[in-house]
Amino acid sequence: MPAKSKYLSPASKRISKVTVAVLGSYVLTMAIHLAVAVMLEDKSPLIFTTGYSAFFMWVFFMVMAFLINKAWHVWGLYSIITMICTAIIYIFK
Amino acid sequence: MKLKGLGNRAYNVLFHTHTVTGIVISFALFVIFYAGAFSLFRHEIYKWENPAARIDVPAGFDYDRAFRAVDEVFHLDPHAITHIVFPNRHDPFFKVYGATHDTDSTVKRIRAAVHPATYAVTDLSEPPTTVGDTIYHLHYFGQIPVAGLYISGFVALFFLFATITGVLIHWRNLITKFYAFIIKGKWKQIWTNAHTVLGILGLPFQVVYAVTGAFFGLLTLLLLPSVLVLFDGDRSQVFEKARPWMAIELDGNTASSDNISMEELIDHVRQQYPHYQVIRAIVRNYGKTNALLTVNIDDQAGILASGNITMKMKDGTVIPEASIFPDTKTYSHAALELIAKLHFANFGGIFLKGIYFILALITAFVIISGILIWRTARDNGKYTLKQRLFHHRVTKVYLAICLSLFPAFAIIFLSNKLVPIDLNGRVAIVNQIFFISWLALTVTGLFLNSYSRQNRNYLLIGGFLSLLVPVVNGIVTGDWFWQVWRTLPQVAYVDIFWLATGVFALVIAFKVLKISKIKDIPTEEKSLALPVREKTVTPVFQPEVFEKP
Repeated sequence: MPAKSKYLSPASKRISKVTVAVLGSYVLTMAIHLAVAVMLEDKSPLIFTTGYSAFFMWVFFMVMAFLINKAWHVWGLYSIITMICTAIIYIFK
Repeated sequence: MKLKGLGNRAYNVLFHTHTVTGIVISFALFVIFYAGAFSLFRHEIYKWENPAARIDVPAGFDYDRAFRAVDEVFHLDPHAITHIVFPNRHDPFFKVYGATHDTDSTVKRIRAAVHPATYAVTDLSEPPTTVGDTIYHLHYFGQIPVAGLYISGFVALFFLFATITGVLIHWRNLITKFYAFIIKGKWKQIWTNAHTVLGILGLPFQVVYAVTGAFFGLLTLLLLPSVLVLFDGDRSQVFEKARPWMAIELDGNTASSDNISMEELIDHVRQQYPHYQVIRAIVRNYGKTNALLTVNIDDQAGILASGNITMKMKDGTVIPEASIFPDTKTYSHAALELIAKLHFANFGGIFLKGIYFILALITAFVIISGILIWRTARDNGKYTLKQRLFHHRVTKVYLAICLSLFPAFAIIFLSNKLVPIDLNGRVAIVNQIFFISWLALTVTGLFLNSYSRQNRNYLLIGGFLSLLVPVVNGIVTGDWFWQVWRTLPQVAYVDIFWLATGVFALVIAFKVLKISKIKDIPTEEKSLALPVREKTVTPVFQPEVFEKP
């Protein structure tokens, strides 16, 4: 029953995958939350929403990081979205 | 009925992440859930813990007199934020958590309890008992300074990951699995059915705990970016949004004044909110002209039913912008309260706590069955003997750590009664007895190479020790549960719980469990024998979930 290894990433690429899944997803999650927050007049509802929505989003991006085949695709995609969010934060702040 | 499942690659990738995350966090998660299940009742067991607390609060107990008694002993700093916990049916003491000024103007935090009848003040920096607190701290690894809370937070986060990937990989058979209460067939099937069925049944509970647990453990990680970006690094702004009474600046050098008594202000709150209980209060600048009292009320039934009413102690006027009213709170305050109440189960009464307790134990079982699936699925000829010995050792260590917690919890309850109540430093001794015996029980279990024996022996030891708990409590404190179940139900229920648990554990250990004669340690012969048997035996239930084409 263990997962069939032919579908799994080779061991050398797993470190990259796990790093982007845990750290990359965290940065991305916070960037999206902050990008929404800077656009809002009253920020406090969003800050308290972050208390639960951040974990669902973080885990969602973790799952996506493992589902996307190539590690560098994940790095690329997550970096681009993070950069867009950072730009929004700079513009609106 | 089948649902559309994941594709082959997605299934195998997520299956692997589910397995790896699960096996890494499993024993820590078990400790969190098992200790967490007991800490739901940490306030309820206080009268059992501390015989001095087995008294009633006399009518006409004077809050202001109690507060002044603490002030006389400790010389409270009036400007410091001082918390008060009012006596309740679980704990008759009036408690003050404040600060005191030393001669060199350093601020020292103090904790004190006031006796409800004699107004005698005791220093709580060395509390008389901490059974509930020790178990509560263990459930987020509070014994490890700073890092413990973060570790538990990450365990909760990866628990959410494991839960969600678990639902995804079992999606195809979700509906059929719902009926799979089958305890027949091969062990791999039994563990898998139990894992899936109980995992699905407990899913809402598990998601709630994964998210709220991660919230309490990783709050700093969430707040840090928001504070840096939105509030230019000023942390207090966020905290003042959560606790608006903290946003009021108070001048510390104002004149003393003859204010309205705490008693009268609280009575006023009681009249306005007749179905609520007054739980705590925060007092600032007590006895000064600008003194503030924030009273925390809760009806302990509704999930959004708590409130904090801030009043000027000079004239009793309520300050709405520094209060959270139970019926008109904002979304922000409601969100925070919801997270906390869902986690601590302090709504819906004792019946709900009972359901929480059972669901927490079911989750603990899902974790154990997960470890056993992991090992059973790898105990065959596809793995080298060295690999299989490794799987065996991991399983053995994990089971020893997890299952020995049951006798260890009985031991902390026993040592709470056996270590004399007036002995200096008794709390440290009780905690040492608990942690050392947990370690000793774990190490002893490692000598057994049979999981069923390990399990049976821990049940036996735990069962006997559980039976001793009510006996020792009766002998040491004289409050036998059949005598005090009317007058001190909180004490009797703890004894009855342990009595029932002991009987239940011993019945399971002697009558139900079958001890397998075969040792679980892998050998060369078994590695050849197993794959053959696997081909000849027809699996009892839904094999395609494991061997997808």
